[in-house]
Amino acid sequence: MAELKIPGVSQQIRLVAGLRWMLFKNSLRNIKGRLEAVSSAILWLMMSGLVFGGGIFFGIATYYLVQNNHWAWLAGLLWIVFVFWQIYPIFAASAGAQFDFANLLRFPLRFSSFFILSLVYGLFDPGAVSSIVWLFAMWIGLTLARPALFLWGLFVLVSFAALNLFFSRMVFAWVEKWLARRRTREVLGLIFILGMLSVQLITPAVQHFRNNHTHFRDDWVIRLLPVANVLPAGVAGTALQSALKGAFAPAAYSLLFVLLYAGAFLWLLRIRLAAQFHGENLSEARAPSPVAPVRGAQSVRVRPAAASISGAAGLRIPGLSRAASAIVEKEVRYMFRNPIMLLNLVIPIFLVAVLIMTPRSSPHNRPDFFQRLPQMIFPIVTAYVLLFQVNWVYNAFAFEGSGIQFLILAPVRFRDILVGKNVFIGMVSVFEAFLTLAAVSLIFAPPPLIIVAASFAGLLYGTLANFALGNILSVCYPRRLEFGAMRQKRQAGITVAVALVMQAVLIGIGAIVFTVTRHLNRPALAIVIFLILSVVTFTAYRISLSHIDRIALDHRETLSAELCRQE
Amino acid sequence: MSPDIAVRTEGLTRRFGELVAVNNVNLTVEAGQFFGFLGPNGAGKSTMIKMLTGLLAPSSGSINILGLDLSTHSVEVKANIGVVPEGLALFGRLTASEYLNFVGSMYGLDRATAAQRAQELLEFMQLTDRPKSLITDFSHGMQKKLALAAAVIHGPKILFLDEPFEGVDAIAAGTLKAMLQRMINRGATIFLTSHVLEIVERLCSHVAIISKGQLVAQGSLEELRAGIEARQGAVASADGKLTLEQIFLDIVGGSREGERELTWLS
Repeated sequence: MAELKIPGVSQQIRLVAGLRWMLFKNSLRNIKGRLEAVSSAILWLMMSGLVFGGGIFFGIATYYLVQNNHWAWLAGLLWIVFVFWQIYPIFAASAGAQFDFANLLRFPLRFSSFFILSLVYGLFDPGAVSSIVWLFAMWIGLTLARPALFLWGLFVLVSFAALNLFFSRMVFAWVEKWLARRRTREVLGLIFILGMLSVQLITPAVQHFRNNHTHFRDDWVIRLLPVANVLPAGVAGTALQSALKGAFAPAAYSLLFVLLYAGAFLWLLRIRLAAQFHGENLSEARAPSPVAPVRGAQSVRVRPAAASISGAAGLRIPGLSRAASAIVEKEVRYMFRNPIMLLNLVIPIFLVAVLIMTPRSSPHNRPDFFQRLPQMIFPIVTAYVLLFQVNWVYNAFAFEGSGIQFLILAPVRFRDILVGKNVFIGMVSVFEAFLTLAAVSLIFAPPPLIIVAASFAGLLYGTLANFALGNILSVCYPRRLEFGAMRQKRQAGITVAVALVMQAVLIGIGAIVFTVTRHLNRPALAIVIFLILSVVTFTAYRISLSHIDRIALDHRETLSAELCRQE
Repeated sequence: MSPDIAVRTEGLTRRFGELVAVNNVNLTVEAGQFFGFLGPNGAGKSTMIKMLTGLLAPSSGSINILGLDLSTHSVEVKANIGVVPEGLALFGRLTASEYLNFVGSMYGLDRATAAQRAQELLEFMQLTDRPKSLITDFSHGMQKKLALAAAVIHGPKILFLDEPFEGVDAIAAGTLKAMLQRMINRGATIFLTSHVLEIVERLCSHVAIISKGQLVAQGSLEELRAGIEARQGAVASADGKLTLEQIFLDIVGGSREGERELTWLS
């Protein structure tokens, strides 16, 4: 066999770049690929505005700060760059399919190539490109303001850029390792969503504490400054600030610290990449267990006995078939293993918390809506309960995965399966409504009984309407979702559009009913109207159920293909 | 249709756009047979098994299972068959025991029977050492064994298996084969697809071969051997019989001539 000459690092990188180009070119063969390319182009176009607009801002801001001796604020600009560089990939990573370059390890790739490729990938991230442009603009601003610092500024800012690059790659490499475990992934997913939700609480919380605690001060920022100064952006800022003061020894020490930070991040990144390079397997799946003596193996007697299988009753929910009861039981188990759904259970309480913290009066001391109509808090939060059903009702098979094949293969009507799922969601909605009622009663005041009854009647009418439409859309436009995934494919576009229009109509009708009956001073009339509407939506629900088996049969291939697909 | 016929298809066809994946297939599987369904990659095996089990609608033609038309009696048919499909049909977020109990309930078993059978099957498949693990955390081989356990929990009359031994270790494969043979002895019918011709040859009494969507051979191994020997006097193996591999290559027109051209490989 002829001796192989393994390509050098630069040639290997060129080969990988060629591979990426071919992947991109081939992705344009179908409409989905072309649309993704167009959306990426639009994203880059929008980004270019941010990049160049930001560049102008950073250049001018640096020039202004240096000229006016506000050198300490340079660290602030560097903090913006640092945060953007690190945060951007988290939000933008879902924009396109990610190329796992660890797949290249099957080839005789040198570690140096592998390592450099990892860094190059990080360099071409839009967040990194933007940040580098901004740092470049800062260097121009600095050089124009203080030409003597042309070279020093270059050293500091290039070192800072390298630090950022190493840090972002290092964080991603380690997070990838931690996220390889399902449980970690789910917990982090939950924390991520809680974090996103908590952002909503910041403004009301700050206002709440300001209103209630006169000693609340904004000096926490000042207290944090010494800490910020020893962190990467702070140290790089000090390197510039000291040089501007003419104190080159502290400036050199600060630059040394920047380089030490960069070196430490590079070392941590190298540990991770070396493990990957040497074939680390992050899979959780365990190898087959050693064979133990099989107790009872010989006693298994599988009999063709389909006729004898309808024996005594098992766990049955009154009024439901055995299959529907089994589905309810399965859904309950799934709920307790799905952090997102568990979170969904307590969201109404979260909403009540937002309402508590919302200022009780406007800046002009006019009483707000809830002050004027406190009894309306419960109906409004109940409307939110209806809104939260959308995620589960309109894509009811989202989490089934390949289990959908079993549902198609089982001798069970889809009608029963969907009834089971609907009963489960109904139970969750009622639970959420009672939880909300308890929270509202404890925190504000118990709403009048008539309003409670009208809210529950409204929930009934809305839920049945959602079931009627949601069941059909679940079967026709299923989308696979992953448990605890932070970023993933969303519901089908048509499902989202129809569901939102439906919620607008349902909640709109509800609002009209409450408004009209309040003006007529006959709140009990709302109960009657909602119950009449419930009869209408129940009829629609029955009609949709009567057609669902045929629809499911017609769409079984879509269901199987869409939900069994491995992303 | 005679109750002795487990599976019968007439003019079964499935198109995917321009591609005819299964073309006018007339297949008969008698009750009690261990039936191997073979074909090269992309020949239409998985499409065929999906149609026979109701996962995929045929473009034309009819399917009768145990004397019942699948298109009009799908629930009755499904109650009497067990399936291990390509995707395994598992619910990843249940434990093995929860899954088997759920499957039992869906097939109408009462809770006590389902629980008892689930426990027996878990022990039989050696899946009892991780009672709290979710299926999603199982290895592929463990998932396959569980899928097989789920397919038999209701005691089906016909078992459809799509590549049942792929990813299963040798010891477990032996256990599974013994279980399948026991089912055959008790009168069940097994319909399996496999790329491992040695397994099919050892287990199956009858085979059918599909190539480019068309059924090109069907019968017992002896019948196929006799047909080929009569036609061209093909070279037999050391024990004087044509192996299934030889039969398969002869029928689908494959050869190993190409390997000889890759001189640089040696």
